[in-house]
Amino acid sequence: MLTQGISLLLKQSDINAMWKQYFKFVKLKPGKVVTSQFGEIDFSADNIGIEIIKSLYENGFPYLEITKAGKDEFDGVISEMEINEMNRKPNRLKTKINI
Amino acid sequence: MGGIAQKVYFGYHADVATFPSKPIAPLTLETSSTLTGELTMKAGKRMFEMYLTDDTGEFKIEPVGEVDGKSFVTHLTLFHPGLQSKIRGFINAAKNQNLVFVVIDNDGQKYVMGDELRPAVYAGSPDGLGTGKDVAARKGMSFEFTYKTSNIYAYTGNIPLTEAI
Repeated sequence: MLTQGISLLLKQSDINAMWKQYFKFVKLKPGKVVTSQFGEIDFSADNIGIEIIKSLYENGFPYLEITKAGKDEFDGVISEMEINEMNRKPNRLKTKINI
Repeated sequence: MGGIAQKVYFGYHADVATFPSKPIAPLTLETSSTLTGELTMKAGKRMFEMYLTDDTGEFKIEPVGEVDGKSFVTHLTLFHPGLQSKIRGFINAAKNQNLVFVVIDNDGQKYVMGDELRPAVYAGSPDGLGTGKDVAARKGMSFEFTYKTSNIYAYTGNIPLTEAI
């Protein structure tokens, strides 16, 4: 049980350390930004939670770009979000033409 | 919850590349009081943070003007403890400069002081600058900055504390 827990923790920390593989920090030198979602984050650090980075990206944070590896890894998740977004758009009004 | 956070963020007005946009034809009262977009800095420029002693900071909105011509002057007052080189450098640089501030209140709401046309400026030191008289006195610098604006808006964007490229 304990070993499983530790290995799960290790896996998560490995993934967190890999955020730079999936996302690229752009338009600024790597460093601190006070984000509207999570407060101050130092983007020069390697160990930022991937869920935090993903959430920032999905909410339009302007200083992150997804890499090809990120697209490959998260493509399904982001596509699903885009589909949900599309479903939220109101249907076009259908007008009846009376002859 | 009253008061402001223990940090405010500032930059030089001339270093700002883009200001967040004011609402155009807003449909609700909420959107009419919220800026859209990001405060971004020119290449090589950044915003800075300034610490303030807890419970010494205030963001105050003063209505001014005649009937049918009302607008606002916003006031940021705060006290920074000590007279270290960094804060001395700040007052030397800021006293006659056009500035921009982002103030965060204790509910997490952000306010920008400064827009494309008007900056925030140093208006004085209401509680003085210096060592104080007795040993138990509070040594440090108090500041007041003002910004004149037609409307009060909240800012929902981010604050870049590292140089733009």
